[in-house]
Amino acid sequence: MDIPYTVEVRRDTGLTNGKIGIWLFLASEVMLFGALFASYILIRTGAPSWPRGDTMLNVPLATFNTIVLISSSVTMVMAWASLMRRRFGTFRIYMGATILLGLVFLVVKYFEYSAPFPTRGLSQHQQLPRHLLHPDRPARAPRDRRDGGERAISGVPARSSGRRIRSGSPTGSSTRASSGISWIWSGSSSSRPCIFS
Amino acid sequence: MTSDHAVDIDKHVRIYITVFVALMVLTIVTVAVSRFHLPVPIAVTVALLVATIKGSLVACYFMHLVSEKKLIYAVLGLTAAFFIALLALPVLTVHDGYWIH
Repeated sequence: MDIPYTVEVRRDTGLTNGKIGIWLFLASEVMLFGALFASYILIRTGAPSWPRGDTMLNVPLATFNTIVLISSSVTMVMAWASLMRRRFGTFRIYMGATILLGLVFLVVKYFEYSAPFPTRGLSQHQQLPRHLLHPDRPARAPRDRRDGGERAISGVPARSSGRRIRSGSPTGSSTRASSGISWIWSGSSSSRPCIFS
Repeated sequence: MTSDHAVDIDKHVRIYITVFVALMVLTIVTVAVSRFHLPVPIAVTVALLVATIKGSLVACYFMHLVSEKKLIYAVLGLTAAFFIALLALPVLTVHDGYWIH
């Protein structure tokens, strides 16, 4: 069965079904990213401190990728304009450039995301737990007072241990190890309420 | 292709190039502001303001939102309302100054 009104315009909406469909898809994308932004706000406002973005991320690479993204938008609309002018050769050039820029964007993203997360120059509070920085390495259990395993980074107990352990946090307070991921970004104070517990 | 139609497309192309230049300038502004090391609230406000302008330019001109039908505006208006509600949800997790367990 053919989908109706893919080319001709519906009288009641004044639109083709394809156009309504793509805008509904974009609306669903807005809600998807809305959930991610809400999670980000929740985590950031619950964190005792938050590092500046330019100290953690590669600004020149991100700038380059933004330029690539904007350029691909322009080549796409220029491809559309070429089609409207019935210049199919120019359309192919612009469309090819759009696809190429899309691939460049993905390659840059690969290098951006696969680069080691920088922790140099950050305080212990600002650093992520070791197992998040190096997910391929198993989390170490605390061995002694000098080495609190993940506590030394996160400032709160490692979830692998259920016993009472000596604090390795900067405040020197001792807390009971707990299960779950409640210690992520929860800071050094054991009395601080945590959004994930 | 009629001459009116060709003129109309030429007008579109001119707008696209203007918007492209504006987006590049705003990208430079975003990067330049990050080098000033402004206080975080001001830096976040400036970044969101520039991002909103850039997003609006892309949606209005590259995605032709300025000349869309009412139904599309209704869909996006409803989406915007739910988006704002979604971002407001973290506020509900705060009670008497403490995070909810």
